[in-house]
Amino acid sequence: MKKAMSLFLTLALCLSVAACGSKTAPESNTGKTDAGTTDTAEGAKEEDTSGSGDEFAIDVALGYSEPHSMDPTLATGADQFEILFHTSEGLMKFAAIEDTVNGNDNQYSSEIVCGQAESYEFDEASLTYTFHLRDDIFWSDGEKVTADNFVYAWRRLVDPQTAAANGTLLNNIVKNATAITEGTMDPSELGIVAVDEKTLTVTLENSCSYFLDMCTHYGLYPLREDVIQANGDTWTEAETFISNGAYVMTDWVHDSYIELAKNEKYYDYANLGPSKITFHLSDSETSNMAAYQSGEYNFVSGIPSDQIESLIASGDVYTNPRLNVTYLYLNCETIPDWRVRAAIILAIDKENLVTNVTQDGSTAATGLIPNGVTNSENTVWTDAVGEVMYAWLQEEYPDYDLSTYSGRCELAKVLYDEAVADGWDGNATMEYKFNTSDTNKAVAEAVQSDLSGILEAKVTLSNIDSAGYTDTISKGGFHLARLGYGITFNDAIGYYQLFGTKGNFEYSGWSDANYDKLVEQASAMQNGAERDKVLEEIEQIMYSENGFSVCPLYYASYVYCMKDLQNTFYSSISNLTYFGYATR
Amino acid sequence: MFGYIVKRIAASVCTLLFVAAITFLVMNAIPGSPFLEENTTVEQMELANEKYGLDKPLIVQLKNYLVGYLHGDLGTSLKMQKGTPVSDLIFHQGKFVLSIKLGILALLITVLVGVPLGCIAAYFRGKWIDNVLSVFSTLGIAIPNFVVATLLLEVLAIRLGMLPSVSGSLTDVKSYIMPVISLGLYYACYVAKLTRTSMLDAINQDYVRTAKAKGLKTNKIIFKHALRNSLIPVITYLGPLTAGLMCGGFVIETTFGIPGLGRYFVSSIIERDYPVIMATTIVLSALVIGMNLLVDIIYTFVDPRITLTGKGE
Repeated sequence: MKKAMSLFLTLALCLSVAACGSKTAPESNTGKTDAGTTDTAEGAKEEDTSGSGDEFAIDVALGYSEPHSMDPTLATGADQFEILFHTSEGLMKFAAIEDTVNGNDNQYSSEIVCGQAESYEFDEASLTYTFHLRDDIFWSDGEKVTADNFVYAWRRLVDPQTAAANGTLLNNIVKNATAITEGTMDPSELGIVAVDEKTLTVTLENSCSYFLDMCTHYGLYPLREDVIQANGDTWTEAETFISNGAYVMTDWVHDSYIELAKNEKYYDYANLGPSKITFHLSDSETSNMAAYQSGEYNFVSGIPSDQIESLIASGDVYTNPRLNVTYLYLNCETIPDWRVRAAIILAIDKENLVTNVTQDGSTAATGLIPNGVTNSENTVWTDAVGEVMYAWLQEEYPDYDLSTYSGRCELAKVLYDEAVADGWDGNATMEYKFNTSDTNKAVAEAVQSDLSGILEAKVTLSNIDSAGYTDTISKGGFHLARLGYGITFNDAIGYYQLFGTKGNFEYSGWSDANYDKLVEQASAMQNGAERDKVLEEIEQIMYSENGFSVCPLYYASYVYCMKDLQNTFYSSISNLTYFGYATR
Repeated sequence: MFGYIVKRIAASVCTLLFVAAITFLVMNAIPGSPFLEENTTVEQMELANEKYGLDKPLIVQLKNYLVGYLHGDLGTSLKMQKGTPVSDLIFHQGKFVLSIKLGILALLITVLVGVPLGCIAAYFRGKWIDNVLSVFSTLGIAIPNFVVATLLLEVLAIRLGMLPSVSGSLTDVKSYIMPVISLGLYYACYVAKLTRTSMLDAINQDYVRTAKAKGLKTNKIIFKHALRNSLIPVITYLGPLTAGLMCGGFVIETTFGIPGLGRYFVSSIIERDYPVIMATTIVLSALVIGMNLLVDIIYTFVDPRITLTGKGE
């Protein structure tokens, strides 16, 4: 008995010792502010109160968990872009303009201006951009930023050996990029040359009108070959991370937070706002919101869907437009009759989807191009072109009022019945594929009920894990399949390039020679009213006879809560809020 | 006993390799790839597969994993922390320690609250104390831990502002309170019920009646004689539970923003980060095996009638 008792006690003791012993370990990582004070708890408290006096630190939760990689070449998501955009800078950058975003009074809109480049020239004849780098740009360790740093980074991105998710970013834009990614040419053949330490030339394949937009992309940030060579894949840890932007990474506790501090070497150091920006790495919307409500965070994006409606109503949450559209593929192989496809597009109530189903601040789609995109005159694309996906039908069937849902339903029934009379099997069951998520499921169910209610068509739903999703739908076989797509530059062509014979995302098996020709033509044109016309025409082709292979559903919004912050700005290109010049 | 333990450990290594092989096969049976996101093309994925050796035949990949494990190499994360060695990810970023800390504290709550409450309930069987405890432990079992966590968060952090809503790396005592309670509550209630049942069983045994007849005090009978015998099912339950608790409560860690290991058990599968799936499964299996061995050893102390080798009788 005593033996057993003593064993139990020893065990308990061991456990408690283990618990205490391990407790000290992480403290040594984060407890550096406590040095010198005897009572740590009180010391920390004192620090806190004095901190709010002169130190301006902000806490941000973007609603994402641990980033997959902070290596600009290997990074993949909006969360990484947001953090990297504070730590690093490309040839071009974003800057606030007087306008506010979307009528939200607390955030400015932005434009693209020179970043690490001081100036640039474009020679249309040789399709060559010449960038002159600033003289006062340095890495956080004091070394100068040189043209070679850019050359190294760009070559590394397109090198198939790197296998970067953004590896094809420059394809069909910068000279030889496509051949290099396909492995038929050496990365050193890429059309980027360091003329001297501060001059860089980039040769394009066509006069890509959004090339300067792309120069803000994280994949094209400069990199230091020596640092990457010396530290391998883990150079992005806080100890070895090196950057050329406004902020430097001072701490990265994996799965917890990334902490940035002002970079003394940055050319605009004097004007920077917050001395510390902490990005909290959690995708739990509930706990991020709790921390925001209890005053620990200044900014959260990604709001719990059960709270969003009431928050929007009370005006505590803001929505900004994004370059993102969610759409359905209507498979032309399994649904060969375009009238059936058009009927499906007409019968889906997009307004209902955003007001009653997603309830996340999304906007109902009126065409393929989302409301974050603007045309050459800076008018929001959707405002400029109107309800483009019904335009051709309206012309052909003027008896129906397609500006109302009931009018669209009437026409949908007519088209569907015509198709049934011509051999479409009205009793066939259609398969709707989506990648697993609560929202996607709710949307699928709403579409299912629209189609069975209006067209009396049977739809079965089948969901697939995101990691295997595109692989599955690229093999075809489905009738309807959803996808959300975001682009990283402000140009409608980014969407049109997805589809058609040459499109990497043409999963509905649709092709149209005229469409392919116009996309190619628009790719080679300079920005302007003439090009806008061509772009509009492209979408007309998608939504006219034999088209209707893509049904846009809604445009996702960038939804956020922010308090005690002024002078932040937003860019719909990769949906980011910039805090570098924020004030209280 | 020493020989027995050595034998068990040797058998465990075989079990682990077997677990690794099964995990590998199951994980490759689900479609998808770590490199395939909503907006990547199939060509890009193939390129990445080639670079990371996922295009090799399965048998070669499996061999590479197993050979690596025998050399103590857990591979490199393909996605969740791209390029980071998995052993760093699990053991050197403070994650494992954090999850173990949380797990052990939850276990202590489970044992120190569950067992005494179970004894008390059994002792006062049918009385009001028993009824009250029974209601509470049923509630504790019925309410899922994320509800408990959200309730605590809402009341203690947001409404009252007493505790931090983000526990982070658990650097001060306050940040432990909510995660440990929400992680341990269910198990404490379960153990209380378990203890009560087996305690009632023990109380009706002949030796307890004998002890009573001898005139021993009730306290002594319950805690010295009956408890010891009634602990066997509890210990059996605690073994694997300990392993589970130490590998992190995914929900609790996410809710309170604790950078523990829990997320990696769940998300690695969703993200198809194969080396991380393999490594986390093996770590969990090793813990379960180790805990079961420990439980077997503890049996012999609690109940001398149990022998490890079976030669005792």
